[in-house]
Parts: sequence; structure tokens; C-alpha cells
Amino acid sequence: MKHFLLFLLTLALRGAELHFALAAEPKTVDPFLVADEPAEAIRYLTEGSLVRVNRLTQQPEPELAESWQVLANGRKIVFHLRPGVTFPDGRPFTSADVADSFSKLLAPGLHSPIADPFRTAKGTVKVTAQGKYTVVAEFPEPVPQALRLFDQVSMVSAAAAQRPAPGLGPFLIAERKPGVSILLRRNPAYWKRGLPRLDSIRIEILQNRDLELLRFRRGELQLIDKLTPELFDRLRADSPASAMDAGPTLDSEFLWFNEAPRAPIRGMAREWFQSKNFRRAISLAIHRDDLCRVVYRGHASPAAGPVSPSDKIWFDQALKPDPFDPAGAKKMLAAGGFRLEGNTLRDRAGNAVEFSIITNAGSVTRQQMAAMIQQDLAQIGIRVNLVTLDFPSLLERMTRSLDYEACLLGLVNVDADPSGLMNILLSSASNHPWNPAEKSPQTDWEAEIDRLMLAQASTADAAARKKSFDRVQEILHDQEPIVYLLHPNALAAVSPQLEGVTPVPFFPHTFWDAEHLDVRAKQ
Amino acid sequence: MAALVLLAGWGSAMLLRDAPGALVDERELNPRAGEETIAALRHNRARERSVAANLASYLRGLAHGELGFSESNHTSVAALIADRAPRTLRDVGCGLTLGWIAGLAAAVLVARFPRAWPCDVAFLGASAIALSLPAAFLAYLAMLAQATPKLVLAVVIAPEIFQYSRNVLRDGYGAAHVEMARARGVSESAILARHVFPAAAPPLIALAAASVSMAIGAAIPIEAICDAPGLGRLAWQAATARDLPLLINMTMLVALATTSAMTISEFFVRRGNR
Amino acid sequence: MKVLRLVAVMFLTLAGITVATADVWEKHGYDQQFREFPDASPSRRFPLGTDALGRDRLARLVYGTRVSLLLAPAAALVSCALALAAGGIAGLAGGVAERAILAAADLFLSLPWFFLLLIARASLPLNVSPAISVTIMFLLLGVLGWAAPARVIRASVRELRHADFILFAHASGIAPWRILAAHLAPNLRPVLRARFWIAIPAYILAEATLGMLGLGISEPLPSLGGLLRDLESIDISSRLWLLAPAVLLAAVMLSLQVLRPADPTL
Repeated sequence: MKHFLLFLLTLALRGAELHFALAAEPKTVDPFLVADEPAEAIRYLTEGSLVRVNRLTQQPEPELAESWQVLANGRKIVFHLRPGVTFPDGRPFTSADVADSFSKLLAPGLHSPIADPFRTAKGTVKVTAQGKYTVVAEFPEPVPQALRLFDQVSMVSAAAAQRPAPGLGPFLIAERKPGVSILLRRNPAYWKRGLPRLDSIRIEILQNRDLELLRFRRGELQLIDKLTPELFDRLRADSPASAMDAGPTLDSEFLWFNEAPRAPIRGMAREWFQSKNFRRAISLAIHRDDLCRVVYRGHASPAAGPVSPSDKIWFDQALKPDPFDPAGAKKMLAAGGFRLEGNTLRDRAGNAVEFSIITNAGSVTRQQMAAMIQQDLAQIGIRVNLVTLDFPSLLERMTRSLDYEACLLGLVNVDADPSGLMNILLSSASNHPWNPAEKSPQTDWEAEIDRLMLAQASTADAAARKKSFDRVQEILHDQEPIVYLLHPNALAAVSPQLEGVTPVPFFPHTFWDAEHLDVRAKQ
Repeated sequence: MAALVLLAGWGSAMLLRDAPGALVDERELNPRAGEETIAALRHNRARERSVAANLASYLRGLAHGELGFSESNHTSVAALIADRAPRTLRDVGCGLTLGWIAGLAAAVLVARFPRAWPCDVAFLGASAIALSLPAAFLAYLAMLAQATPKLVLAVVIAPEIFQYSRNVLRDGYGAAHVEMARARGVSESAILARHVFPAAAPPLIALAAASVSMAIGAAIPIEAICDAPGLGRLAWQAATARDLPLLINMTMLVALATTSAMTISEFFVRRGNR
Repeated sequence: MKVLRLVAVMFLTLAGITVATADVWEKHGYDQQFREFPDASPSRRFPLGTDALGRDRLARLVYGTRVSLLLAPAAALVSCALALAAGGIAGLAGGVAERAILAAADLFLSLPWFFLLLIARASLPLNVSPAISVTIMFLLLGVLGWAAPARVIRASVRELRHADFILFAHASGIAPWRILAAHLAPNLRPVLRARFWIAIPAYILAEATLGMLGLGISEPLPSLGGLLRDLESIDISSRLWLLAPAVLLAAVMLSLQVLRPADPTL
């Protein structure tokens, strides 16, 4: 009888199909190996987690865990699971599934980037089942904001023979045509009664952004999660109600110089890049307001550091983006031993200052920014050569050969918490941009950043963490190893047919509340 | 031909091995990834790039009908090709058919009716303009006009067909035996069917084979721009993603099509020259 | 036809002079950014408007055409020279050598050319000027383009191989390379000329295609391909002046087609 009523309820609530596109094929649909945005989109829609960070409020909310207690100064979290939740095959969801999911996630051979934040210098988290609906997670040392980490971990059935397996999210993968489309259908066993409202979601793989907008205008797609600034303005001119600007994202665009001693670059170039005066002068010479106004058409904010102003908790209000000040830049360079001869800047040895900036082909905004930076630096006598490379070639130079001088790139920041930047700001990290994998910090200020980042990562005291991370931001602002340029806004297109969409600056910008979305029938 | 196809596959594998970016994985840039994960990604990638080991296992798999696994699409290459090939074959087939019909019909018209010189000028002008623009740009215009890739391919192929067939058919109509047939009162349709076309057949068949090669070459930028899920876009993706198994197979497919077309073309050129 | 050829010559001459003297008459450089006027419509100051960074579109069109018009013939020369050597040796030697060279040509035609260009581009030194980097790219296109004309030249050499004057040259003991250079090459002039004129527009188009795929010339140096790529993400239906690069490309290509000598192999 219960099943019959459920069936009737499902029929009554039968919704339509949502169509949107992803820019690339997900590299995997294994929820434990998700490392790119398209894969994360599929995981977000099809998997359930103990805790879900509400993308609107940025606060963790109960999901498969209906409550929890944080104990022992953040070293222990006791989760109380929601009873009555079942997998699509009818198996009940219990603490055994949670323990098993973590066991698989943390398996040494898996090398999951989702698992890495659960590992600290002192060891790995232990997740044990205590009773049918209680799970205890014990960390060897306090992990700040540990609760938020559980948002990324999908709960997989212990009985699943392989991954992906039908999960606990609002939708299930019904069909997958690699490189073409993915069809998700409503999960009939979803634990939130009456949800999702949509019957299915068809996600197409479309690399061409113009084509995506064309199809949106034709009504074939109801959502575009990320629009370029030109396309956004074009849409806004025709259908202002469909174009939504959710404000600055957590992402940033920046430029950095290769300071690695082992990099096969000219010695004189390395000397320039290692000069704080040189880096600060570059920062002062770049017109950030123009970059925001011209390239991003006003849909971006100048950046003072790695943290976006939309991150209200961690953004250091005292820091301001460097103003456009070519005169100040020249003074800074003069203080660093550089001199301007006519239109050419020369170093102490009389060498003309000239270097190359690499960036990825396929990003029109980055190429435009690079061209503007080239002109800005020409005003202070620096000649810049721009080289656009396809992404693998760019990565090769950045991470292997280190055969580059300066690089213009962006960071898609998935985590508002500073611990998300550990693998970039720690001097020993492979992704430490200006000097990867240092055996020991090359400078005092890098040593101080290391100390502060490790300090904030080992305490749950919010005030202490804020103090440490504010100091990190001040050092970065002062030393400028990375010249932060701007934070782009979240620009989305939402069809008037779609109900329940509230775009947010954090990924996923438009379908973060997919279970409440619905498509009205066309009139 | 088989040796050439295998050589082409091996050649593309060697190119990929030495290509910048062959050993990198974008997932290394994930800010969450710890050092062990990054090291594991690099190790796996380096293992995949061992050409000798991979080529040997690839050939073994080929003997069993397996074409390898595409990392960038996370599925078997055989399944990918089976999924995408019909689309490309359809687009290329329709594009070639439409292109040939349009090109040949226009050529027959201007060759048969010398008085239709305004049409000749118009067709020459239109074909010259179509030949003057890159296939990628035509694809972009087609995308704006919501036209399909097959139409773009037809627009790319038809002008070459028209210009070449026009010359060949005009030569055919100018032959002495055609004049003789006309003088004997043979109907124009019979002249076309029994005298002009048979003489024009060898170079036209050679052109047909060459046009297949042309269409395959044009399909890559067209599918990349129109985002059509065919073999052309797959080939582009294989190169940009440094997907070794996929690139080897796509190169071999292209080599097979190209060498077949060249061989057929050569055969009919030689036959026509006898 | 004569009128058409005359018009084509006049157009190409005018275009050539215009682009060659651009430094004299063009008010703005191709890279000068007028950031207060991004995406401006045509005006007296900017006859073809400005692009997204406020750069004069007319200046970029003129300099972009200069790049293509200068370098495409250079690339065509390189590919014809290589094709003559390969096709000549294949046609003259015959037998195993001929088959080997033809197989190499087929192999070259089968390899993914865009991948070769992608690798070449990524391997170029970083601190070369855009002018040198674009020259290298075009020369690479030329080197990669030898295979198709080599086949045609091979076919022509095969026909000439048994001509009396070649047999006489052989009988006189003249070295094969000298036969190729001094006797065959002059007789291949019509074929080579036709191939050269076919190759020029092909290389202009190849660069334009690369530009549209995002692998073209680096900023700020403009090229016809890069200018065509600028049309993406722009609503051209209400801004038809944006089609100027396409119109100019079509006009240049048309003129080259009209002036192209007849291909004796067809």
C-alpha cells in the first residue's frame, strides 16, 4: 500500500526535464575520484553526503546526518544518521555504509583528492560505526572547519560491487553517452519526500559557448551556469530577466613570476623576478579597473589577494587592491636599481627588461587581459612577449620543465576556507606557483607564510585562524609573489520557464538547489 | 596499405610521446590534491606514455578487436568510435552527396549550354567565394544560421567539384566524336550519357576519391566549431587532451581513408591516361 | 576574363601598396588600445570601429593582411621546393625509391597536421618577437605542405622521364641531380607555377583556420585568422562592418584564383 501511494505521489508530482550543458566531459563519474568541475556537477546531483554546505548561506546543514556534535576541540565529530533512508535497491542506509565509504575513500591505492584534506601530518581520520545510526569521526589533530569537508564525501552503499553505483542523491545516472550527453532521472528512493520536483535532467556536453547561448535562446537549454562577459551582456540586451549576475565568485585571475632557482630561464630575468620592488612595480603598473571594465565589462572586482570579497568570513577588509600608479611603479623600480632610458627599462647591468607571459589558448578573457597588461607594462618601459599555449603544453612548462618566465592563469577556488589554499601557499607544495616543491623556504617571508598556514590549519579557534590568515594575506600583498588581478563575477542565464533558481557566487551557481527546481510548461 | 596505416598509428604515438604536455594531468592542479595524489597521477601518466609497452599491448588488443581505453572520455575507444562514426559518416556522406549533386549539376548546365554564360559567371563567382573562406569560418556562419555540419561540408565540397567537372565536361563536349554524334542527330541526353560522361568518368572518379579525403579533412574544424559529436571533434579532442589510445586510432582511421582514396584516385588516373 | 584578370591585378596591387605603406598613412598602430572606446561603431576616427580592447579594427585589418600576404607566398615557396625535390626524385628514380617517397607522402597526409602544428607552436622559444614566431609558423606550414604537390610533380616527372631530351641527358652521363635541376625543373615550371598559386591561398586559409581554433598568431600581432576569430561571441547581424576581414579575405583569395595559371595536370 505504501509503495502504491508513493507511486501515485510520484505521478502527481511528475515534473519536466531540465536541460543544460557542461563545457567538458566529466573525467570520471566515480564520486571518490572527482577532481574537475563537470565531474563535481554530476556528483553533486547524484550523490548524498552526511552534511551539505548550503551554497546560499555558506553554512553546513544536516543532510544524511540529521544532527552532530563537535567534541574534543574539533578532533571528534559524532554524527547521528537520518533513519529510514534507503538506497535505490531498497537497502537501508546505515552507519556501516558510512564507515565503508570512508574506508574505500581513504584506501592508499585510490589517491583521491577528496581524501587528501582528511589526512594531516599526524595521521588520517578514523571513521567508525557505533550502533546502526551513529558514526564517529576522529581526527589525530584538530582540522579546521572539518564539518565542511564532509560535504564532498559521497555515501556509497557497502554492498555496491563497483562505482558509480546508484546513490542517495536526488537523481540517478540513467544514460551516459561520452562526449555527448548524460541523462539523470529522479531517484524514486530519495529520502526527501516529494522531491525532486524535476523528472529528469539532460546534461549535454557543449564546448562552444556561443552555441550554448544560441541553444538557450532557442529554448533548448534552460540554464547556463557560467557565461562569458560578452555573452552575458548580449543576453542582457535581449532578455534582461534571463541574465543574472550573482556577484564575485571565489575565483581569481592572477599573474606570477617564475622564481624557481632550477628554472632554465635567463639569470637576469630570475634576478628581476626575485626583486620585491620589481614585483610591486608590476602590480602598480597594471590597471585593474580597466581589466574589470574592458575585459569583464564591469562583471569583476579588482583583487587585493587570494580571497574574494564574497568570502565575508576570510576576506581581509583592511587590504585594498593596488591602485593604478605608473609613477609609483617607476619610483619602485628606481629604488630597485632599474632605470628608464627613453622608452626602455634597464636593470643595473644595462640589460633591457623584457620577458614573456604564457597563458592558455582558448580563453579569450585571458588573452585580452594579457594584451592589456602588455600595454600597461610598456608604459613603464617593459617589453612583454605574449605566448598562448594549449593547456597541456602550458601545464608542462608550469609543473615539469619550469621553462617559462611569467604566467597568467586563474584559480577556480572550491573552498572558502583558507585550508583550501594550503596546497598552493605552502612552499613545499608541488602547486606552489612561483617556486614549486621547495625543500625549505627560500625567504623569510615564505617561511612565515608556511608557519601561519600550518598554525591556522591546526586549531579550531576561529579568531586565531582569522588572525593568522589575515597576516598571510598581508604578506602576500606586500611581497606580491602572485600579482592578484581580479575576481570574476558569477554570470548565469536562467530561462523564465525555470522555477526555484537563485544564482549564487559558489559552484554550482544555478543548480545548487536542484531538488527544488521545476520547469514550467511553455505557454 | 595496412603497413602504412600501422605506421601512421605508430607515428602519431611517437609524436604524442614527445609532445609538450604529454605527461601532465590537469587534475594535478586541483587545490585539494595532496603530494601523494599528485605523485600518483604523474606516475600513472608516465606509465601510459610508454610507447613500446603500450603499442605492444595495443596490437595484442587489436588482434582481439579491442582498441584501447580513452582516458579523456573514460570509456573504451571502440565504443567511442562506434558511437561517433555514424554521425560523421552521415555528415560526410550527406555533405559529399549534396556537394556532388550541386557541383555536378551546375557543371553539366554550363557545359551543356554555352549560352548559359551568366549562370557560369554566377556559379564561378559563388564557388570562388566559398573556396576563399576557411571551412572553420563557414562552420561558424552555419552555426549562427542554425545549419547543420552536412550543409557546411556540401558548401566546402561543391565549389571544387563544380570547377573541376566544368573543365572536364567542357573538354568532353568539345571532343570531335561528340560533334560527330550531334551531326548525326543523336539527342543531347544520349550524347551526355553515352559520350561525354564515359570519357569524363576516370578523372571524375579520381576526383570523387580525392573529395572523400577533402571532406574528412574539413570535418575536423567543422565538427570542432559546430560542437557536433562526431569523429572530427574526437580527433581534435584526442590531440588537445593528449589521449594516446584515441589519437592512435583516429590517425589510423584517417590514414585508412586517405590512402584508400589516394589508391582509387591513382588507379583511375592511370586508367584515364592509357 | 581579361577584364577580370585586370581587376584582380589592380586589386592585389592596391591592397599590396596599402598594406606595405600602412606605417606611413595609418594613424593608429595595430596594438594601440583606446580603452575609453571598446567595441565602438565606425566613425571618422575609427572607420571600421574598434575591437573589445579599443584597438582600431582598420589598422588591425591592414596589418593582419600584411602578415598573410607576405608570409603565405613564402610558405608556398618552401612547400614547392620540397615537393620538387621529393617528387622529382620519386619520378626520376622510379621503383622502390618512388614507392617509398609516395608512402612517405601518404603518411604525411595521414598524420594529424593540426597536432603537428600544436606541438611545433608549443615548442617555439618564448622570447621571440611575434613577427618571428609567425614567420616560423608559416614556414612550418610550408614544410608540412610538401606531400600533396609532391604527388602531382611525381606524376609529371614520370611523363617527362621518357622524353627524348631526358634520355639523351642520361645517355650523356649527366648526374641525376643535375638532370632534375637543369633539365626537368625548367620543364616543370608550368606545374610548379600552378602549384605555387594554389598553395598561397591554401596557406592563408590554413592560418585562418588555426586562428579560428585558437592556435593562431599571438597577441598583439593581428592576422586574418585571428580577426575572424574575433567574430565569435559578437552579434554580427547588427554590426555588419565586423565582416570586413572575411570580405577582404574572400577578395584576396578570389583575385589569386583569377590570376592562377591553368594547372596543366588537370
